[in-house]
Amino acid sequence: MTAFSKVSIRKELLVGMAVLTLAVLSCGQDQQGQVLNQAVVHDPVCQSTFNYGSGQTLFNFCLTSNGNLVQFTSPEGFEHIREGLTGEGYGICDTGLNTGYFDYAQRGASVNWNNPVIAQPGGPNTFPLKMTRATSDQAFTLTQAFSRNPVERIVKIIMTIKNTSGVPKAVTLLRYADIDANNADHGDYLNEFDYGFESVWGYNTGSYSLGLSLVPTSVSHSELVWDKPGAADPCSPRLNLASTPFFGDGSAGIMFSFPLAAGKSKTVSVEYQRF
Amino acid sequence: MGSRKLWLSVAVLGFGMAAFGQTSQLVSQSPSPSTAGTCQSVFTSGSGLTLLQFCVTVNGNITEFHGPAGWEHIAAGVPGQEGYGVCDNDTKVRYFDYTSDSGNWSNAVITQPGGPNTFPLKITRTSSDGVFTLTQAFSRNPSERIAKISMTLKNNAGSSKTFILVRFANVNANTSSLGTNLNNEFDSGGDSAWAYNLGLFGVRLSTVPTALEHAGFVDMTNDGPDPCAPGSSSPPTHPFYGDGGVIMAYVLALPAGQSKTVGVEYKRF
Repeated sequence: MTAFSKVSIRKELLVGMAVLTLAVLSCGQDQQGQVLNQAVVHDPVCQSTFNYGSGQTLFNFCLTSNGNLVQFTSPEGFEHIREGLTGEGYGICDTGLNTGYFDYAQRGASVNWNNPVIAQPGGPNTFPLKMTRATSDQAFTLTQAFSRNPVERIVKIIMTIKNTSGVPKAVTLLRYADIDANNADHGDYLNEFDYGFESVWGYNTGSYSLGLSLVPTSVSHSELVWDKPGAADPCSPRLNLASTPFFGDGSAGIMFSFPLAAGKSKTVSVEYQRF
Repeated sequence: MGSRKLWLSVAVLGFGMAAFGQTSQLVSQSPSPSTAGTCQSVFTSGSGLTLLQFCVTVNGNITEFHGPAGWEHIAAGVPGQEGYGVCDNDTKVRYFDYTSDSGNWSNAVITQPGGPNTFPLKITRTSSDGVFTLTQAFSRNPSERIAKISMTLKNNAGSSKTFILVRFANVNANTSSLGTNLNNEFDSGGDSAWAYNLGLFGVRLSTVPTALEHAGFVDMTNDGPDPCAPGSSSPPTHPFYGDGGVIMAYVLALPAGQSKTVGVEYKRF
């Protein structure tokens, strides 16, 4: 840890706010301002907020109408996502056509999505909650079903992708988070990152951690740590991968890869857990 | 971070003497085998990628923690070192059972209405001097690959006491694939300590969130911590790579006759 400078990539809130106002952004900005090419940005407005416990047991999170987890607070006073530019969400790559579809909230969203359809019988801030979104070219439909385990501080996301293109596809499905654990390490945006066979996590030694894990599956998967906060291109997921353990302003993801016949669906599940 | 700072401040101010120069007392208590890590109960759920299997000894040690199929994380060809320690902070007497015990425990009393290999399972053990009773209640969450232990410490003495309660595992993650290489990556936080190998599986020891003072530590010696100074064998730098262990430690101030409960979990990730 001491080998790294803590001053090299300090984020500037004002720069971030200015970036927010732009509809189309490009790479080449500082770390905090980084979003993917050809992306729009979505403000991390909470469609549903879920609060549990208090103090040490506090577990609060919120979801946008597009299905981004843009706040994860636990325990009280410790935020792990909603810091600086907020980035969390999903990406798809049609690997045959090299066409990407993604939505990472303030870290950028591709423009090739239709509006989501929300199924939430009890109204906002209630479960069950399901969000379905089709790509504008009618190639795929992604359905996200959200649930939680307050005791374990887990947000669970079941993702089902359906091939609606009429032809077989080879697909990657990515879940991504710009983890800024412990209030972005109290403002310097430096976390430790590492990964295992089914998990990837960001943390600070002696403080708290946010992990992204998959529910065990036979679907091919990769756990990814990027050395930048907004580098999760679903069609080039291995660009900007970090050498781990990585200490810096990084991001994390899990990528699933599979063939998907016409008209067929594949379901995978991921979980965010504070530990 | 707040809780770590608090722990450290208490360690320095309240338990400062315990943190230095007393580890030899732990060794001099001549650890004795505690049923050699034999499994009293084995709990198995799932299969293949979802398999979670762990065993509990008669004294309440989790000496095997297995998952997915073919991947063992505590036992390394022999029963693993896992268990609990208690420090009577007033007298500095140590009590521990990390599969080998400190010799100052009475026999365990097992409450298991359905017999071996079933839940509910409760194991109660009193120190041989009668100062305290430790009750462990075991459960699991198969879908999360979690073995859970609720630990209740009761002060049987006639006066208030402060205890340090420790849970420890000599994690040997992925031993089934790594063979004789027992080295793992280790790190810890305020609520957890964990071990893993890059790209492979890991085991995390976490507390159930509690307002009681607590901290996670890495033990770079893997011998089991001194219950009176559980952070004294922490590595100088993090992450630590080696043959270490994971620790959760709590400070429990107990009036005479009173008890407090903490929960810990082992999770395969």
